[in-house]
This record gives sequence, C-alpha cells and structure tokens, in this order.
Amino acid sequence: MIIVAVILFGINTLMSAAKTDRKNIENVFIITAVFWLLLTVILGIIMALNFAFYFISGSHLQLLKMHVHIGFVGWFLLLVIGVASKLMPMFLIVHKLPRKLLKYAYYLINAGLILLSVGYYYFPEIWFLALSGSLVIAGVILFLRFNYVAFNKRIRKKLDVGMKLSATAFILLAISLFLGTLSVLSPKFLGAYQTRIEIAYGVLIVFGFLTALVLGQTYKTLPFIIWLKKYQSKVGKIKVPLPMELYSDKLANYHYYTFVSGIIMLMIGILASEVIAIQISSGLLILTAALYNYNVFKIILHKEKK
Amino acid sequence: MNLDSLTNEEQKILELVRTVMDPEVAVNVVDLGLIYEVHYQEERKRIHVVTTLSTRGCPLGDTIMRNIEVVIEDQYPGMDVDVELVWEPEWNPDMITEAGRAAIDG
Repeated sequence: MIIVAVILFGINTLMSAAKTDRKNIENVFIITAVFWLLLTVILGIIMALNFAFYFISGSHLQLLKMHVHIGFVGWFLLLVIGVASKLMPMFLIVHKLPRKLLKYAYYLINAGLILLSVGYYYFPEIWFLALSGSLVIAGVILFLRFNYVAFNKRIRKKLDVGMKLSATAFILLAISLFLGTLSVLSPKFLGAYQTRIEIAYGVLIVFGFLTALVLGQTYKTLPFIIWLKKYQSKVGKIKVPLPMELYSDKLANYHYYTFVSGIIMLMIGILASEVIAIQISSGLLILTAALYNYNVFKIILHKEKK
Repeated sequence: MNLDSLTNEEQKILELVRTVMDPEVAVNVVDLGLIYEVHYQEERKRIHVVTTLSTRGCPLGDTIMRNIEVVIEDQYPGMDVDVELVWEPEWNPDMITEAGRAAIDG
C-alpha cells in the first residue's frame, strides 16, 4: 500500500510537471527526487521483508546506509534544491543568476548518489565511497554557491525571520557536509572523536539543517496560505493585514536566537561529550518549539477582519 | 510602456494602482515596476492596465491582479477594467523605483 501511495504521488507530480510549458532545472530536480523516493520506499520494504525471510545475503548495515543516503540525498536533498532554487531568488528579489551551477549540481549529485548506493553494497571500500561522496558534496557546494550569489545580489538587504532561518539552514548544511566528509574519510587523528563526529553529522542534518529549513519556510508559506484563504476575495475592498502580520515577528526572532544557541550547545555537548551542554541545548530547543508552535497556531487560528 | 506620457486621467488611475501592495514584500506594485502601461479609453468605456509579475508562478499573482481591478472598478463604475498580464519585457530589479528600493529595506 505504501508503494502504491508513492506511485500515485509520483504520477500526480509527473502530471503536474507535464502541464507546465517551462522545462527548467528546478522541475527536473523535483521529478528526479520523486523517483528516488520510490526507490527509497521499495528498498525499505525489501529490508523489512529481509528481516523475516532473509533472502538477501550480506550486511544489513550496508543496506541501511544505502537506504538512508538514497532517502536523504536522493529524495530530500534533491527536493530541497529544486524548491529552494525557485523560492530563494523569488524571496530575495534577484534575477540573472548562474543557473549553470544548478545543472552541474544535478549531474554531480545524481552520479555520486548512484555510485554511493552501488558502492555501499557491492564495493564498500573507503576510497570508492569517499570518491562517490565527494561528487555529491561537490554538487551541494555548487548549489550553496548558487545561493551565495543570490544572497549577495539580492535587492532585499534586510532579511525577515523566515529568510534568516533558511540562510542558517544552508550554513548548517555546509557544516554537516564537512562533518560528513570527516565521518567517511575517518582520518586517524580523529581517534576517539570519530564516533562523536558521526553522531554530530547525523544530528546536525536532522536537528540543524532540516529543522532550520522547516522553521524558516513555515514563515514563508503558511501565513500566505492562510492569508489567501481569508483575504483573497477582500483585497482592495477593505483594508487587509499583510501576511507577515498574522504572526508575532518578535517571538519568531526570539526563537531564531534560542534555536541557534540550542544547536551550538548541542554540537558542543556531542563533540565534547558534555551532558550539561546537551541538557541546556534541550531546554533551548524546547523553548524554540514552544514559541514556534505559538506562532503556527496564531497563524492557523487567525480571525479575519470583517 | 507608456508611464512617461500619461494623461491626467491615466495618472489618477496609476495613483489608485499605487495603493495595491505586493503582500510578500509590502511594497506597492507601481514602485516595484510591475505596471507597464495604463490606458484610459473614455469613448470605449474601457480602462486597460498592462502588468507583469516579478516571477512566473507567483502564488500571489492572481490576488495582485484582482486587487488592481477592484481598486479601479471602485472609482470608475461603469467602465470595463481590463488588467492584462504580460511576460515581455521580462521584469528585472532595475525596474524598481528609488522609492520602491527604500521601502523594500524599510
């Protein structure tokens, strides 16, 4: 049923893509991401069945690594790149960007991911995985470079809280890449820090990059969805609030700082193995979640002006 | 584009359109450089506004265009208001006025 659901989702996405007269790289990223999602789900189900019937020999851990990377890089990262490449220039008000960077990023990430997936199961040699991973990393660096150019050329110099969180997400992604590279290369000088860096890599991607992106993009999408629903038919007839007035900007900025401090403390806690730092970071991240939720409910429960 | 050679009536219409905001950047559509032409055709009972959007697929595009239509219709009852969306010439940030730039960073 899960596979059928994903296939239906894929068909829906492809049909939407077919309707557009503009075939651009952003769309290609999104369509490719859907294919990787399908593969991720199929592989996940095969792994689950393998626990019961054991028909695939070899290390389950390698399959799991393949599954995680296909899911994260193939589905999530490609989807994020496709959507962000369209939205970030739109929100920053910037044109004429080096879109070739996105094309190169597309080829590098997909080539790297194919090699990485095959390598995890058939050829789990460090040099091969490092080479495959470096293709993915090179692609992501090109995407980050695209965003950096957009950021520098932007007309809108003052960033709102949604864009501040989104920009922070990409900085955290760059740091995650660095930690991920260290994890794969596992140089000897890391010693006891090797495991801590591996944990920091995984935690920073989920609690850092993904969370910052979700927090930031909430403020760039949810207020507009609610605003359109409540005020689309009233614009021009009565004075309507702006979408950004549907939430508390002050609280959003507070949770920007609690989030950034929380992530810094979390990294210190993991890398230095300091429980107190992790406990402080938990407090800061809980506070972030509470303030964020307050704003989300404030937006969702917004009562329209008559 | 005819914004440099507007009649008095067309100038009045442009000032009405100036009350329409892009909800994302909170700047009016005239200072954003989104309005290309305004035509007041009294004998045909028609007001024709040629506009663009800063990006294709802008989810607020329909709302902005409807807003332009509503503010004009409100002041010019009996006139046929036609708001036309075009993609040529393609909008670029150089079209933002000085006032628009100041407001964006306000």
